[in-house]
Amino acid sequence: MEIVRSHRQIAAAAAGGGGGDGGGRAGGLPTYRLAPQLEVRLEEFELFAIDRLGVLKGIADGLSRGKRPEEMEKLVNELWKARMRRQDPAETLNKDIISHFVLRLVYCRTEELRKWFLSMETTLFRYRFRLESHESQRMLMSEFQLPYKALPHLEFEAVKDKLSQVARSIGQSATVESVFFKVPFEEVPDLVASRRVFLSKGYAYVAMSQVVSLVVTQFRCNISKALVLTNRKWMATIKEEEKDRLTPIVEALSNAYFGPDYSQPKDAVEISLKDIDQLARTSFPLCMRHMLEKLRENHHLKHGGRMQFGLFLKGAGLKLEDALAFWRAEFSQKVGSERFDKEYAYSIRHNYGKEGKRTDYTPYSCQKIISATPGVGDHHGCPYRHFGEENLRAALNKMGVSGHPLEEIMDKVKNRHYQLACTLTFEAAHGVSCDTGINHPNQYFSESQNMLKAKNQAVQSQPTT
Amino acid sequence: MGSISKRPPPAVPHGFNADYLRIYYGKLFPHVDFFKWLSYGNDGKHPGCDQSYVGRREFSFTLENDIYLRFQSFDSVAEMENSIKEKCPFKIDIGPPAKRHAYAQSGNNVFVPVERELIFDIDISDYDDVRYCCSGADVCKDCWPLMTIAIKILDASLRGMLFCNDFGFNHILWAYSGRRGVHCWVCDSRARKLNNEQRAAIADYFRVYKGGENTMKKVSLTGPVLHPLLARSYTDVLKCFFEDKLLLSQQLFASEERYRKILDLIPDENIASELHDKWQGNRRSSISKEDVNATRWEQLKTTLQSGKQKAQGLRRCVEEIVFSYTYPRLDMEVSKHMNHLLKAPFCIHPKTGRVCVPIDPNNCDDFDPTTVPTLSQLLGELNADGLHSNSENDWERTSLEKPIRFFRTAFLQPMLKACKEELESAYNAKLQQSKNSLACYAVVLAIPDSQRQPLRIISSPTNTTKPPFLYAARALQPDRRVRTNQDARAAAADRHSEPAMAGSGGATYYKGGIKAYWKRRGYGRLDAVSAQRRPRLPTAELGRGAGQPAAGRPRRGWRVRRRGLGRRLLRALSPRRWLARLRDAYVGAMLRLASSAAVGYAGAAPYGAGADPFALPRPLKEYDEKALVEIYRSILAGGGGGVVPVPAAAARLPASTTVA
Repeated sequence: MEIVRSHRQIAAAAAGGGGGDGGGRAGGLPTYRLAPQLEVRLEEFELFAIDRLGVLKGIADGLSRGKRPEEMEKLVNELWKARMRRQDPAETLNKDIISHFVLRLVYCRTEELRKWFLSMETTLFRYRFRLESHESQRMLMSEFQLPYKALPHLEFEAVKDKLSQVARSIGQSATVESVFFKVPFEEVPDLVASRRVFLSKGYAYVAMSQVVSLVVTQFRCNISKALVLTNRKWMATIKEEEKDRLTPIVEALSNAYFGPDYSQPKDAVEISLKDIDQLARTSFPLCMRHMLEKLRENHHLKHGGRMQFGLFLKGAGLKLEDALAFWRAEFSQKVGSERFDKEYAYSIRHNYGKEGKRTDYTPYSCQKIISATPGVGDHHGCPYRHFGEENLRAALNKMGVSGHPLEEIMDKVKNRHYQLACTLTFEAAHGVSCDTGINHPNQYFSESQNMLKAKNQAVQSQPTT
Repeated sequence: MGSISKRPPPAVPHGFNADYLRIYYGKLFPHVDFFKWLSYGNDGKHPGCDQSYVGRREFSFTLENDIYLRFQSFDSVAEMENSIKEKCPFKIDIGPPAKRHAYAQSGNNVFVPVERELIFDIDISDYDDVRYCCSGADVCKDCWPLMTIAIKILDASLRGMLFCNDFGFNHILWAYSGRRGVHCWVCDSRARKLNNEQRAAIADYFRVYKGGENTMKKVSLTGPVLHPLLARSYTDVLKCFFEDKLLLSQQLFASEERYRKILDLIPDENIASELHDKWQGNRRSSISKEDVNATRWEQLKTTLQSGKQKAQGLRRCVEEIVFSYTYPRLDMEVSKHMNHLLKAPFCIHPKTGRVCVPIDPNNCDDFDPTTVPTLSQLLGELNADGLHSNSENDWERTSLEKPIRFFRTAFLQPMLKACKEELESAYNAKLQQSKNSLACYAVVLAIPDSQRQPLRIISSPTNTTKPPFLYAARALQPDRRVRTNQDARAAAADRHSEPAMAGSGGATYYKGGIKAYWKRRGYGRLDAVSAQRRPRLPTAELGRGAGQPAAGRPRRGWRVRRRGLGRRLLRALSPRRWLARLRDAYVGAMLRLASSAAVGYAGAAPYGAGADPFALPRPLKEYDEKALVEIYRSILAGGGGGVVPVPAAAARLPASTTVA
């Protein structure tokens, strides 16, 4: 214990950097530039990581519910307090840093893991940065060595009108902030995407209150690079060296939170072609039910729909031959079977890992479906998120959901709890409660199936007793 | 949709088949310009060029019967041209230049795109809910303006212009997609280097229209004022277009079904039903003088914007309606990812037979998709004054001339110029860096240039990032001396005037470091093939006189060049120029004579019976040879000037009725 303690200050200084001694900065926000040189006890190694993972997982949840920035800020703050805060600020900082580097090790190993970790860590950093004081924000900026200077007065006056127009367009007061930074637009993609900055000649005019985007871009870039490097190191040496000690922990940790990916149907469940309609009535979630309906109606689905629905069917246990037959039966009515074979069959085989780079694609999770952006003519996406209210009500009515549960669902939708709305739909349709919540359309399907099976068994066993 | 779109059987000519296409690729397709574009200056001789650049780019061919050939790549224009001519693709797609991922863990064929033009794709079929004149892949002059305003809005925002220049890109190519939409290629190096996230950000920046089939209201504008992009688009383009054109051309308020669609966008049900009742009532009476669409739109506007509608949502509603009917709808997925393939310009759309010509964004109002040259039309033109070609480029005689010239002058040349400049500065920066590291190399050997032996710098590099250069003394005939091209300032200077080293003679003075010394002594780098640089594109255009350098002509190395007026005067007076002009005039006159009706055959347009030689089903092969010989003779008899022997490819030109 003593040894560990003696290293703590070092950890804070090394990874926190810039801010002087770790204790001086309450709620200090480290930038994780350098891995600390210190000893960590194995159980702390794992426990810290699990705590941080809890925070990240909470963030992922919040994002998938489409929470607004203010809500996210609150959520992050609460999660952080609950899981990471310790009595001694220095210890908090220490835990922060250690857990980050452990997870970096855990999540460096595949592209998908890296992507998830990167986006969650970035989000966490973003909201923690927003909670910092102006002082420490500036300090962090200088720590990232952002070469930007505030806009000179003359230039500021020239574009003042436009700046105020932008500020008002995003619902801020018309009085313009006085400190702006002029940066290449590539540095602040998120602000550009949501039209929250004024752009001119390839430069974005970033207000002091938006500076978080700049810092976050930098942060993200650093972590992304570090993850790739860590991965290389892990593959080259650490994995072997730590075969008996860290590797099992690390591998267990990364599996712990993704849950099954439903790429292979569980327990070799199979569904057959003729069952699809019947299964759709009993066990498909609304999004899939809707797409099946549209497919039957139009004999066509656009690419996004084919992906979302096709992979779902695959996850539910539809074999490749059956899938081809299924899609051909519909599409040939519209485009002819010849054209189906030419243009569409490939991508179905592709989804099953039989063409191209032969990746076995995984069915889309709720989070992915919710963040989709269906365009004209598209039927995919999450009904709770992408349907208009009228259409959603109609669709739910068709499923047999009405009255009080329907209102409850609509209420969840209004508050952007799309997955909760889906869970409520599940409960309303099946008449049981679903404690785990719905995170994946295939989870909806398999839970529904399990439940129906249990019911059937109960019915069957009753007469005999 | 009962129409099963299959390619018609080959017995029915429809203006597009592999034979025609072969001629198009053989005679008309601008291979050289196309290749120049995609190599972005890396095909030159400049030592800073990345010679492997263009060879890493993926091309994808779609052959007849939808056979896909992906991952084609070409190192040279000849290779590309041969492959295109041989495979005769129905469609050419351009992918990103890629590199094999060094750390690919899975699979063995992982390519990662290293850069990519920023591309946009807009399809008219995405506007089906707001156009009533056509649907699906059809377009007409009533709905095409939707594309035109999309071009205007995007171009204004992407391009660096005076007042509206969000992104400040310069090299933007707009192209007709051949049937139902437009493609946009932003080719600035800055745009090519964007990552996926930044691309998605730009696409999102432009996106206003959201939601799939299942929402009523696709556009929602929030906030008390609009972002400058939207405000500008609305006042400059959308509003006028909606009120002056779209209302009438699409008859947006003419029937109940149509105006109901608009009323659905009004959040306040009372107002919507009030207007609905009003219009339903006076359907008959109001058709009198004013157009019903305009009046109803005015009524809607006054109702929504009148003083009593305090709610902001309602005031904004007018704009929302205009936006949802007119604002560009991008295919987001195309722009978001670097690895998306996009059809190349100058392809021919197999369904329509139209060429994917570039569109001039400054005159996009004049662009009419129904008058874009078709394959059959081009071949007709080629045939029309077929065999007396007065130029080496066949396209100059067809209606492809304007698009290709536009592609060259408005897009390619300025872009290549910028690329060259960039290459140069990047190269110089690199040199500067290596120079700095070279400064710590110890030079052990220096051999006087009379001995003309390879000179090797034996160095003890303290930092190993750069390998030591190999230098050799070159033969010192004044004109054959190779420019070393190493000092940035000298390079900039000698583009216009005598290079500094010529003046230095043999005097040895040690100024400017060892490199400058070598340069003065005339040493050149061994590994640099030669050091030419000229920002101008070496284009071969015969009709322009001898003033421009022709492609393939050996460059003159460096020599005294006069600048400005003197040089121009000298050129204008040069006897060679006069001779060339004389020759051109003579050839031109003879050709005009040959093609006039007075002389023999040509006036009757050898094959072209009417505009479309494919109008009648005819077997093609029978009279080809005979006909060609006939024409050839008749022109010879008419004393035609620049007759060239008919190449083998031309022998397969389609024939038609007149030659029987």
